[in-house]
Amino acid sequence: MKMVQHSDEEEQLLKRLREIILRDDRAELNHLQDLINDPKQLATKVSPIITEHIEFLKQNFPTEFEQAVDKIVEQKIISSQDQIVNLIYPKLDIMIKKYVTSMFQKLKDSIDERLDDVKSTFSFGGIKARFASMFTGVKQSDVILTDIGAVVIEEIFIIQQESGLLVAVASKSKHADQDVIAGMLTAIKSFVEDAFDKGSEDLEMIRYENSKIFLQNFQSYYFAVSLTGSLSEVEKEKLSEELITFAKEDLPFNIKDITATLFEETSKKLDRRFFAENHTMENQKIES
Amino acid sequence: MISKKVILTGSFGVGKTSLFNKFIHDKFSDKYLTTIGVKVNKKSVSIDGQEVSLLLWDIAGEVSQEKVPTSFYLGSSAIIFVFDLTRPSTFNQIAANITYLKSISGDAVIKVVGNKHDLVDDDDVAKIKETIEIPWDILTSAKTGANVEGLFHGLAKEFLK
Repeated sequence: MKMVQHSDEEEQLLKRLREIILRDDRAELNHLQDLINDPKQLATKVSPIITEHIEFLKQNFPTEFEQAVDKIVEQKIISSQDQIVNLIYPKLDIMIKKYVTSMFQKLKDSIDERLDDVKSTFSFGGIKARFASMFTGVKQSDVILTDIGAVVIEEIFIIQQESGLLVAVASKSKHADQDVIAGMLTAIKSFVEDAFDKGSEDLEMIRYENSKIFLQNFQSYYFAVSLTGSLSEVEKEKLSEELITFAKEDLPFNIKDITATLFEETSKKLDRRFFAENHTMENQKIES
Repeated sequence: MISKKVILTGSFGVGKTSLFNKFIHDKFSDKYLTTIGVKVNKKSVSIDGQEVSLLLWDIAGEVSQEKVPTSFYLGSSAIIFVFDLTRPSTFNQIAANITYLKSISGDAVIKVVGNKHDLVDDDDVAKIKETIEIPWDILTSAKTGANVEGLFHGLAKEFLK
């Protein structure tokens, strides 16, 4: 291409012409540069746009990004299956245990109701069960069902009511801090009974996960029975009866001084009655 | 062996838990962790060949003893009222507090204990002695361990009388 040579005069004219044509554009450009370089001014202009966009995202996030997020989550789940299982498993385990225990509790309560019905000579349930037993030769299947989830007594404490001092104790496995447990149980019991201002009413049960502590109160002492498994209303009554019998036969009405002899003898009696024969509440029930 | 329930009570931050930990575990910490509700622990002491099992109840501190659940005091053989020698607010109402404790505790032994003895000098102690409404039974320091064993052994001896 041939280069056009301009004279100086022509150059000056062209320069002026450019200035005239581009004057407005240059002014606009300077204004924009000032705007960009001044954070305050820029923020004033940009903020409403960003706010508006965030609002838009808030309202339309699922429709706009659903597919992308789903894909990311899906990939993350696939690549971290082991980690997820490790995280969820302990919680699932507790939930399942709780659910199963609760279901057993319901089942056992309903079985107890049916057994009461069966025991009643003239009830429809009783007559039906006896006929079924006569023809099939099968003994009451309900009894077998109640074996599932049997209540097991882990430990029995006899504790002085006010002081929280241990009168006697028997357990499946020896624990070191039985005195401290007795004291803390009394503190909790006192606190709950005071806090709810129930006058003569007593705390009857403390539950934790699938274990529970059943409390049976007497004048100067109380029993705290640590149990595992689900305890139906009938079993609770049986346990209560057995504790009352023990108190009548083996304990003084009013325990004032806890001597070493009282502690040792009563602990032995407790052990013989509740642990020596691999005692469970289910056995009691079957025997009855 | 005999067992006795002993209560540690007094305003917050006077060092009840520190005395409790020093006696039970022989440990002291400068960290202040407020006691929630009550903490129970046990230690046996031997007095002339006879074992005395002390079941200690370390009760959460309250400025007024009337705020402590009454049932906590029931059946106790001794109540240790602890105050802080460096904080007059913990012993200004001592007469009222002790009168109240006597009214609810039956025949329990009541001991008045001034703790944090390591933080005051003899002049300070003399000044407090002039102003305090009820004389103390013993001055202790959970930090140095001064008189901590003496306090509980003294109680155990009284139980055997």
